[in-house]
Amino acid sequence: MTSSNSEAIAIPEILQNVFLHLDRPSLHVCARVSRLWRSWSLHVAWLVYSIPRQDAADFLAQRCVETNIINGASEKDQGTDSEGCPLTQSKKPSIVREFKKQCYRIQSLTVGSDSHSEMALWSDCNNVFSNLACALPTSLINLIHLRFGLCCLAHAPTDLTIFSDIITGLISQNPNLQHLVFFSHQQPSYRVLFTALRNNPLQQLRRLDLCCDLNINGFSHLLDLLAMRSKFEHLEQDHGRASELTTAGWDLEELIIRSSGSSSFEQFVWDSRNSTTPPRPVAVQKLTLFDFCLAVYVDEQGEDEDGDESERLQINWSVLYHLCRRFPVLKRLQLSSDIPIDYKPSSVNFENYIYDSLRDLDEFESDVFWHPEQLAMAMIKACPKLTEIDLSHHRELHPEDWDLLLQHYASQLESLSAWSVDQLRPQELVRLVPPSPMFIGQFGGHPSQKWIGLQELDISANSSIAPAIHMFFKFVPTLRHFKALGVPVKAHQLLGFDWVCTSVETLAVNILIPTQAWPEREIWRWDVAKDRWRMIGDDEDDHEYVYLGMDTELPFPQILQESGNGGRQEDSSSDSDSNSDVASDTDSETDSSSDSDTSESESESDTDSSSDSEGNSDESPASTSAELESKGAPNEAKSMKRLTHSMQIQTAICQQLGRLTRLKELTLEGREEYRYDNREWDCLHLTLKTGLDYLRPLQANLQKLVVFQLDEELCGQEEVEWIAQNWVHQDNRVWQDAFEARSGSSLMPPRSMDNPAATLGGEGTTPVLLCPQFRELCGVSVCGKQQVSALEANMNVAWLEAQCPHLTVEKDVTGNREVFFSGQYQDY
Amino acid sequence: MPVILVSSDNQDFKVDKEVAERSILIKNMLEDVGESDSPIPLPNVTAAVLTKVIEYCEHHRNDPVQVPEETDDPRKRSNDIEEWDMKFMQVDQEMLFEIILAANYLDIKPLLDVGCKTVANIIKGKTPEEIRKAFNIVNDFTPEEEAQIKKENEWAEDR
Repeated sequence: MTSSNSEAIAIPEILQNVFLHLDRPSLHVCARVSRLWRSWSLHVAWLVYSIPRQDAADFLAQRCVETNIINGASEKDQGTDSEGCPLTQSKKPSIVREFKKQCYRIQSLTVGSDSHSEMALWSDCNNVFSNLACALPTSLINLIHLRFGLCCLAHAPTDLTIFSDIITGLISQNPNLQHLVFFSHQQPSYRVLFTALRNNPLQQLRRLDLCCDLNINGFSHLLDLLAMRSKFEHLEQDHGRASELTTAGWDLEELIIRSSGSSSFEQFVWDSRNSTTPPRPVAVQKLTLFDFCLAVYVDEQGEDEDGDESERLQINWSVLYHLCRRFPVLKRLQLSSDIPIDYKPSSVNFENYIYDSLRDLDEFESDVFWHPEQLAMAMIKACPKLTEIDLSHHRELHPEDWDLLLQHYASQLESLSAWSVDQLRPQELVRLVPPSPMFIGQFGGHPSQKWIGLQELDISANSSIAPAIHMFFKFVPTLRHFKALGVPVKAHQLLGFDWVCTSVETLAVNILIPTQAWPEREIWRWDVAKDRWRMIGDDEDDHEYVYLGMDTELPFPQILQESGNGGRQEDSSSDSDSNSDVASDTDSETDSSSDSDTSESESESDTDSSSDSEGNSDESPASTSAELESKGAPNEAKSMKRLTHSMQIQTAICQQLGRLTRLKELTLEGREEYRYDNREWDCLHLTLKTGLDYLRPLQANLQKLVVFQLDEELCGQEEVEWIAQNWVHQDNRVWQDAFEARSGSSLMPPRSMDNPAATLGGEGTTPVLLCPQFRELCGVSVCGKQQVSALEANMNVAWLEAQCPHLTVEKDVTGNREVFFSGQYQDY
Repeated sequence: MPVILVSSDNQDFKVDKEVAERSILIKNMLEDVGESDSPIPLPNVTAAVLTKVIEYCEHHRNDPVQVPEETDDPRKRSNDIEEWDMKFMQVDQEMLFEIILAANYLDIKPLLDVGCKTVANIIKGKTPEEIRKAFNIVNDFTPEEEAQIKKENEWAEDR
């Protein structure tokens, strides 16, 4: 044996690391190799264990091991093992015996299920616990993670008793629990849990995740329990500064509550309003309330003090207000729905999905508002340390509240989720955008240089926010996850500069491609006096604003007529000539309107400029357009010009997208022949003629491309071949050679498609599977386009699937794009 | 700014600082030393192995820093090795373990994970005797112990 072999395998950390990659059967094989291997393989094998609900009685109760029949269980009920694989009844006693022998090794235990669908099936397991008593193995004492998802029938008191005994026993036997997840559909169950938590210190508990009906008083009781466990110390601060709360003692870092029930929040507000003592703070840093419903607790609101129902309510009717007062050290606040988790890309767009899911919640949309700024001020005062905020679909905040919140938290905010928030306007959102680097350099610095840096932003389904989107591409380099589904962004606002967000890993964006050279000015400028971005035209005294008529077709900015660089400005200071007075408002760093004075004729003639699209044929659309015009076919010429223009813009956008080499997931939206704002728009088509090849660098990390809501043309033969060549088999020499060899023939799979296999283990070893990064292509249309029939589209996609066995291709067969029912794409 | 690494057999390797700092050990050394041209000795890594390690770090120089995920399950997958990494690990067994040892010493977690995944894939599907033969491991069980263990765990191995 070589020294390195023996040395490497003998190091426990390395051996454990190897074993962590093995499944249970392989681990049990390793347990027979040698004593050292046995020790570590069993350690790893038993780190995580799952007891299915139908077997819970066998493992955790008595009088179950020797017989294979549990009262009421069918003989056909095979149950499952810890990996979820079906087992025969004959093996169950052995498994249970082994469990009781080895359970001291278990660190992570799941009992039952945490799935709502699984819980719904519980009803067929009648009398599971009948005639049984809780009998937890005494050596089950080293749990760190516990997921408990049992349910019992309300009309079976014995079930409830043993259920409570099991959960109580597990908690009391495991004082080192750090994570506790509790699922139950039975109302009394939370009391059992709370009693167990009250009687056991669980000093290591860091995360508590509850999915149960807390009933009327449950939420208040929970907070009181947590407050009892929380200890705060007031730090001695410098003279003149207020003392700061910190935590000592039981540090529950994260509290997650799902499906708590509407009455629980209602009672919480009532209790909080009527309490004569100050609220007892809870030392939780991350609070998540899923399925939070604004309407439910205002249903019983009384009239305000003046007796006038039309006046705004007092802020002490707000759950958000009272929550913030109870959680003073919050760093993450999430009061929203878990819709984004459930939403799977499909032909149903996100906006409609939200509408269908939450329509009942919007009943009080316009009625329940507090006085502007009151709620925001209360939040800022109560929770000054927030770094992650999720108030999606929230209806309690005015635009003034959002402005205050974002102004205060901008310097420390790492994550903001505000999808479907109709009161958040562009003017407020740009609070999160620092001034341009040129401005900072000019003035020798700005406080934004010390900002933590926004990393996550989700503002989907807020179409009115569109004017602010490009500012994040321009000035926020720290973004890693950016989602703006259903928020149409004009492409030329995204051009004229290099996107700075090159660290982005998740991007979801809706891009409108202009079909003509319409004028566009930068609509934002930095207000030095107010130290913020201001939309041009917001201020009535802004005399520099020039109204541009909707139908006025002015030349396309010169900068975007230059090909080959994605419209990128070579000189970043070229826009400074618009205002030489540094004391007044300063334009943004790059201004796509800098050449709005260019004459109209230049725009017309420049359509013949060379394009950087690699897919251009010898007969470019530009030359065809000129030819048509000369033949006296102006309409056709105009149509061709629009096509040319659209292609150029698409190519420029693809150039910028291709720079985002850290992208793992990309979602693109857009519609062709889209009429909006008295103009016709196009979308990204993702063909070789419109810049697809510029996306090649995405091969580095791209795992998923979603195009359900995009009128793309990826189903063409050239395009699917390109995907296979550049996103799947780019390093597969065998495939590339075979593909080149059949070049010119019909679209048929190459003969030799074997992936090179690793044979490190010697002859007969199972080869290691190759898994390229790109795994999912979702929403590629197979309905046929102008150039590709439906039959050809299906054949091409089928070829791609055959070439790329690891690639999951989800086809879009609908052919129609759903229109959001209220189509609120506002003018801007 | 380049960094000079010195292998155990006194061979110098000049690498970009960004590449070298894929190793947490080297990164911490550089932070302690500050701005310095002094070469960094790596007495536990031969030139041949260091060459491979540098090749890996160069390829992955732009990868984001791995942040440990909050999860209740420490187990990992072994079937998601990138194509480049798979080819990179197509070496003889001695070199494979040398790379693992070097990655462990230099604290390059992604490289260590890839190495361990590769070893795990070798183990999968083998009997205990085949594993011993593959890694030259001595069976230190008594025959009685082995029979007892086999009997106890038969149910677990059956798939």
